[in-house]
Amino acid sequence: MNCSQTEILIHALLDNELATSHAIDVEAHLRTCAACSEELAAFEITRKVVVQADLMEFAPTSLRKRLQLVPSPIVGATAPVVAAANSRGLGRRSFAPGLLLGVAVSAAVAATILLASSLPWIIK
Amino acid sequence: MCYRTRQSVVAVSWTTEPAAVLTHPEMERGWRFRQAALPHLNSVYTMASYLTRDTAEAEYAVQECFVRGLRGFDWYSGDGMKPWLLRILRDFCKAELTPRGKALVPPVSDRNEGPAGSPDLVPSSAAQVTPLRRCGARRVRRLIAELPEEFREPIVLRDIIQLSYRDITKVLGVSTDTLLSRLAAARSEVRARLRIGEQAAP
Repeated sequence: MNCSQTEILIHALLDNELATSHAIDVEAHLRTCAACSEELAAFEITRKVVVQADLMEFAPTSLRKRLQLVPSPIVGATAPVVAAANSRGLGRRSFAPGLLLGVAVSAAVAATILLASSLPWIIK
Repeated sequence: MCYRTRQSVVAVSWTTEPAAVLTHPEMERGWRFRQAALPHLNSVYTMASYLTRDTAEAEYAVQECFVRGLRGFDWYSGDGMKPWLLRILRDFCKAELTPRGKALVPPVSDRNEGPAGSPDLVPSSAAQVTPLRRCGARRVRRLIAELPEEFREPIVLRDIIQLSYRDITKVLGVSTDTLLSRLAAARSEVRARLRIGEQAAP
């Protein structure tokens, strides 16, 4: 075991993720190498600073409540969540194409009815 | 909670699922998913906060993660719900969310942020009082949020969410060697920015 190998493996040692055989080798190297021992000590402090800062986030209550509504079987599994997202301006799915399609279909139906009703006059 | 049916709207509680709900296959599946996934909500939200660095984006990403998780729940192998959800979240963020062009901001919660001038945290170990007091949780959070993504991910998954290496490799889709070298690089960066160990230098 040399210093460059130890440099990486000390992180697995700190995290208790090193296999026993490797841990024995790393610890043997650390006993004879002051530089690597100092590295281990410095990274142990670094790791503890991050862990003890306790940076886990708590999900907002409103989000938790929305997720408890998944699924809604008839209107679709995503409906409550997407509706909530849209109400917060978060939705990515625009309804504009659907609206335009609806207007176009309505216009076509109206034109057909008008044409059918005026057809007898045109034929005359 | 309300389930809309063609005949009526049935109000049900999500916590105490009545037998009637459990007989409906879709509802039963949704109930099983919630039971498995909701305990990991804070972890998923934490990862989303550090990936997106934006409150609204984080909430949106978590919502999509849960919706996609429910859709794919039939394919869940049972080999760890938390890494499975985090993988879905990460894939979604990579594929769907555009990188933020704005200045880096720390994740959004003020949970660890006291009034100006107050101590950020109270360390439990006397041995780490000096570096912790000097750094403060707020500064550590900002520092991690500003790390490049390939360094940010392993340190968040390991030191904040506290996943095992095995689970982290599943989330990131990398080998243990790659994870270890990224983790080493991330901690080196944090250590350098916090100037840990410099006082020992001559």
